[in-house]
Amino acid sequence: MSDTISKYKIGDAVMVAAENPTGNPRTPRYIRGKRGVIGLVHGILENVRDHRGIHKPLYTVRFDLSEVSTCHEQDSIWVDVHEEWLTELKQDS
Amino acid sequence: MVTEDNRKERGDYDDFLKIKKKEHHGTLDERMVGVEQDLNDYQELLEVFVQALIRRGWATRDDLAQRWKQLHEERPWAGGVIVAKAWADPDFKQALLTTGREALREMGVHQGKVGKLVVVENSDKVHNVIVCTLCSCYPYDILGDTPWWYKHESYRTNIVQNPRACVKDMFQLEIPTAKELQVWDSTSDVRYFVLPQRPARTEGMSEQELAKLVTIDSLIGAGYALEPSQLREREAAHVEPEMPRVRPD
Repeated sequence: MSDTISKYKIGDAVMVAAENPTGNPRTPRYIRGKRGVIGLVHGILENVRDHRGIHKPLYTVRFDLSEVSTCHEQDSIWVDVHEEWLTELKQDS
Repeated sequence: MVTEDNRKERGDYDDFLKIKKKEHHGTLDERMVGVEQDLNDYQELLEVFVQALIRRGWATRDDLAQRWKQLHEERPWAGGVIVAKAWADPDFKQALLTTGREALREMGVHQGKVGKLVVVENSDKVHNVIVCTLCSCYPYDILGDTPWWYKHESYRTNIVQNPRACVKDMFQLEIPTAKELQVWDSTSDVRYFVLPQRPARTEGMSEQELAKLVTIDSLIGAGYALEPSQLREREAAHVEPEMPRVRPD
């Protein structure tokens, strides 16, 4: 599941921006500034009903539960995030 | 009654609705009084609107009663049929998990166009739960209305903060520690539902019978599909939902 319009692919480590005033506002607060891994690549989805305009490619990003909450179980939270919120996380950083 | 597909919705994105949103200030008690007052006003408005519809012949009381029943039925709309087919037909299941809506189109299930559909499968290793922490995104066009708690703030907050405790407290669901709990937080463009595990003691059942075992909770991960004996208990205890009062003309 990869395409030419999406910058990231499944398995890429990414970081969500802490803030992004011009980005898609439907990015939940609890994942902002958090590290995750690309879980699904959706490409550009048109959703004229809910959005004005077309947004950047969409991903479902997998976060360890411990990254986004105070719990330590080996569980995970998967959240839909648009590309403008993500930066690649280098393995050595 | 026909609901237009391009109807106005999602107040936070639609200026048309945004201007109608009221804000309340002051202490919690004062704000609650304000919200109570709003609810009364809206109820009044709704009653007037319903009467106008009936008077103009655009809807009948039977239409409204039927719609009310439909919205309050525990049975998920197409969810049961889809899941039963996936349990019975491995090829369809594979198509459903990989292509989502496309598989449904081939099956002939009526569906609107609320976003991309992703179906996540429960197994002995993974238990999936769906939420929309921002509002109430959900594949309405396929599954019908959400259960009331899906929109409740406590669910939307707790399910991503402490998912195991949340499903235990709210739904008496204890997920074995050997299973990974995966919570899917939908933000509008993708809509999710859970493919529950096929319950025990269902060998040899037809798809039609299997479909009845699928509860709306099991499609969100807040429960398991029913065993046949549990379904019989439920059916024995069934109570018809009561229609809200509409003022006489």
